[in-house]
Amino acid sequence: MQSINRGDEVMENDDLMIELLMNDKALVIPKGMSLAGLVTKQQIEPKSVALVCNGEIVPRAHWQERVCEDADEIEIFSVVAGG
Amino acid sequence: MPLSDDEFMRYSRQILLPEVGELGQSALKKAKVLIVGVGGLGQLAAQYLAAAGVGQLTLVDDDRVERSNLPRQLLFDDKDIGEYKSSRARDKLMQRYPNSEINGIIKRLSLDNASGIIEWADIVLDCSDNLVTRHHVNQTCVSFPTPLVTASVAHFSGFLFAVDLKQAPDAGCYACLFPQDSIVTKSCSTAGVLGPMVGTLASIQTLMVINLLLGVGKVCGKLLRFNGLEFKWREASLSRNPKCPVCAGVINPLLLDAQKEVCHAEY
Repeated sequence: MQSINRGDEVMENDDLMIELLMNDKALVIPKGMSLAGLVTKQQIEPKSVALVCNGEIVPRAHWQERVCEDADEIEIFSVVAGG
Repeated sequence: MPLSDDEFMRYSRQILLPEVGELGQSALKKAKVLIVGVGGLGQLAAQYLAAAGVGQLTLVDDDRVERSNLPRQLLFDDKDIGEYKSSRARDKLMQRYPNSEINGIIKRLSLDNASGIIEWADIVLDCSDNLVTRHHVNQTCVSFPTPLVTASVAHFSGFLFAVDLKQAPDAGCYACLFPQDSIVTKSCSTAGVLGPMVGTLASIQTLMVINLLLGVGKVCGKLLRFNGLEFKWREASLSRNPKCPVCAGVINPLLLDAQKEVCHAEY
């Protein structure tokens, strides 16, 4: 399903969608989507990133079971290993 | 460990800090610190720690100095090209900071040799440049458990955090954040990096280590990320993965011990 950014036309099925912040940008996604689903939907390789939800790291093992909530603030960032 | 007159004068601006004082400076003198990787992060951390009066420093790296290192690895110069980083860094630091005992180990840290290298250290700085070494350092530190401060940087982003299973078991370990099957998309050799980016991360990493050695500050439990284009620091609470294959087996007994202590305290 295509993501719909804020500022687009008001959606028809408002109660089926939620709006969250991902890396400081508003994003509207279907209700019930897991963090794993959100990462995949952004076409990000899940093994290449870590995820913060509302200021707290969510271990990758929990992304499948954790469902995105309305107004969640999510940050996804790449694994960096340089020194 | 008593301080000499020279040390009192030399470290007077540190001793002046109530969080350091004479006791803290003695603690630094007594400290045994291991730095894994003597690249951008490691060479700066080593200079700061030796200059601050850390008594024993060991540097592990099997790389040699390359011309492309020089813009950010300021301890080295053109004459060092082709020499082993750990031995050049040791020689230079010993000359500058005779109060510190500096050891250089020309080896790549691996699971085979990590225990012997980490065993004696009070604290470890992970300044390595690849995920495999980072996991080996983490796994070995967790097994003792020895506190670890890990930092990494590439492009205009960097992050760092402490792993201390005794002080902050709920924060977990490196593998809780980045499981062992993680894939790195950005490295210094592919994405590039600027010296001051490395310096920023190395400075905070060293500050965390000094805080931990002194037993002050609020170092544990948080991941700090820096973006050098937006000039933003971001903080997130670390969470352990209760099923982490690396630390769960070590943390669960520690948590049980802590619970027992609470029970004893109650009765």
